[in-house]
Amino acid sequence: MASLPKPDELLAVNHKPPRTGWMDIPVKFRRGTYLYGAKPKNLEAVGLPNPREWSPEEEDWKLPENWQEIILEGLRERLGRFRTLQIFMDACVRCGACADKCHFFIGTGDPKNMPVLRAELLRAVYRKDFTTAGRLLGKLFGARELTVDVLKEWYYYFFQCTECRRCSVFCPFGIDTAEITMIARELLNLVGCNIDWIAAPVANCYRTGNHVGIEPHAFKDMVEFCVDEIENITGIRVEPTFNRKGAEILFIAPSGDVFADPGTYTLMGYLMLFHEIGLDYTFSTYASEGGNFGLFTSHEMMKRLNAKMYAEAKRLGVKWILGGECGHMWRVINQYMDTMNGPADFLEEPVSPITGTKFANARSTKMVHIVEFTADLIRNNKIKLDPTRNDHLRVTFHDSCNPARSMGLFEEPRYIIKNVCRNFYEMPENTIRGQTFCCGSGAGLNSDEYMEMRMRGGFPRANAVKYVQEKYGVNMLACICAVDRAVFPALMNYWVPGVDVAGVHELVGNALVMTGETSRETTLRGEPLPVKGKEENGGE
Amino acid sequence: MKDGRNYISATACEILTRKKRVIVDKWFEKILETYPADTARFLREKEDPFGNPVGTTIYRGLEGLYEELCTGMDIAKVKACLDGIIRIRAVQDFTPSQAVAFIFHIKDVLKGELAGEIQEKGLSLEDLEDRLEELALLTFDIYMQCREQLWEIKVKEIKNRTSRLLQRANLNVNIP
Repeated sequence: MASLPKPDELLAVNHKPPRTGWMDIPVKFRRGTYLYGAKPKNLEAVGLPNPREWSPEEEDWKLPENWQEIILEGLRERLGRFRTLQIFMDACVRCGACADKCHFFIGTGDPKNMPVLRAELLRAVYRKDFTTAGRLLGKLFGARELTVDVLKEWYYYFFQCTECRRCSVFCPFGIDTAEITMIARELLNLVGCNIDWIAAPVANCYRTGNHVGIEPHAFKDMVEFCVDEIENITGIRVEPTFNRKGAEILFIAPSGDVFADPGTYTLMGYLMLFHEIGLDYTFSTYASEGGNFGLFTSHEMMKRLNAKMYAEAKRLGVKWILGGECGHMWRVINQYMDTMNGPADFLEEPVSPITGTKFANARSTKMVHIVEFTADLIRNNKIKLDPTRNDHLRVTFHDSCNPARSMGLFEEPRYIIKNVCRNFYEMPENTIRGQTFCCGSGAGLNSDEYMEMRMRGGFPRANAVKYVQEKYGVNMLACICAVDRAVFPALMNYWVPGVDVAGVHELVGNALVMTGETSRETTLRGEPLPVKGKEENGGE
Repeated sequence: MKDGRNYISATACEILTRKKRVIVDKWFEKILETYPADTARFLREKEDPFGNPVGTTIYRGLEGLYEELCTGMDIAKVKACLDGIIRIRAVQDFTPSQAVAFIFHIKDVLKGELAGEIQEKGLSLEDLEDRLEELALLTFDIYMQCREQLWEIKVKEIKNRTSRLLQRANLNVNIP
């Protein structure tokens, strides 16, 4: 008979974690803290390798027999292709400046979430196979053999990074851990180890043009649903067009704005604005997604999915593209598009047909961010706004990581908010603008099975929101990213109840005085408008 | 609680208040021991509440709890302090017992720090320990609330993701 523990042994509960080195702590896949593996049909849809039924919780990941060879060869190839990767592998001096800047490290308390250590997961394997010292000295030189356990660790931690780039702001060498994560995810994809929450949107996007797989008729139907709601609120029937050849502008929004609240209210804001200024624009039901989960898969996949936008712009014969409030779409456009699929020389340099402003910053990509476009309209007095309609809101603004750190889009959204709301309050300085804290669910991690981890990763952001809630009574978190709008309601519900989430253009829609509108009684959410003159002008 | 149960004598209260800083600091250290050493080093820094929200929230929570233990045990304040700490630990990598065990960690600290007073002045910690037991019971409620809320949020998110599509297809099912 097996020996049973004695009562005093059972009571000897140790609450202290082991003091072993990081390389010797294996990763545990516990529900709520890891993401499900990619389903075979989603890998097959875009021709990604090793499609099979598998689960990260199982011992056997059903890897190809020569998986180590595939990954090491993949790493060798990428070291040659990306000079940044080679530099990032060699340059880090482990100064620790990045260590406490990651929201996942702050929220989980797991040292392997320190960006330096996350990068070290890849770097240790690089040392072992690509440096002489690593080959000779092994562990003494921080080198490590690529084993199945190491691969599992990669999966766990590289899908526990939102590629938000906050750490890179603090690195004295400018090492961008997001790029290391991107490469590691590419390598994982070579042996079929993607997460399904990324693989499914990629497959859907490739097939139908958007993450959710909404087909053209349903996409049109969903937009028209918002058209009906706008008519109920304003008495005005806006008339968006779809796949219309010869329109001046192609408008592309994240599909999250079309099918889920509170994104739908943002979509209503866009539609109302375009109607009011008489914009000659069209939607495309094939390029019906701004988001690009290819960015979280591989450079090739990012390029493939990005290409659909430009193919549609060409097919429809538009002059330029206007993009909605999306996050990572703008990283793709601003940092990769031009060298991947550009220059888009079949389009024209974007000029606002209303103000005549030239968007010289988009000269090459021919794609303008909607907050730049709207801020320009306001600056030129082209729209009439009644900010008192947002008087029931005390607003703070979350700088979405990609528009902030990959585009430097800090002032335009604030300028719009200050013109459409009278109560605006900033969160503390080291949690906004270039130092903004991630929502904790970006880069494809916004799945419901990951809720527990998302709450950890989003805590630093929520903590700053809580501060302005307590200090100024903030009740609305505005943002310009569809992932933010999808995940913040859950995050606020857990950490800061009483704070709602809105896109900036929802606030614009509320304040916009439309020509010929009936007297408005409700906000875009159908809630009664605040009584005029009741609230004093506040904010910063 | 406020009704006078577990009354703490004025002398005990005075001693406990005088030793507040050192006791709370040591209590905090006990919690930090439940994190890996590198993390504990970071959590200990209290200069920036926004850069280190976990360490700051836990420390403030302990401080508040200690004040309540020594004085009135205002239920609303106690719950707010406990909630701040447990809400964090309920989603971190801890078992339920590990998440709430910090309540008992103060016992050793008190015995160590007040050994002199206990021996020389006959200070009794019995009343304080009774209060700690009440706190321990509250931690179960709060821990469970957090975990249940997490699941509710999950269900809500899934529903919201599909509600517009279902509404459009006239398949709206109103489940309360």
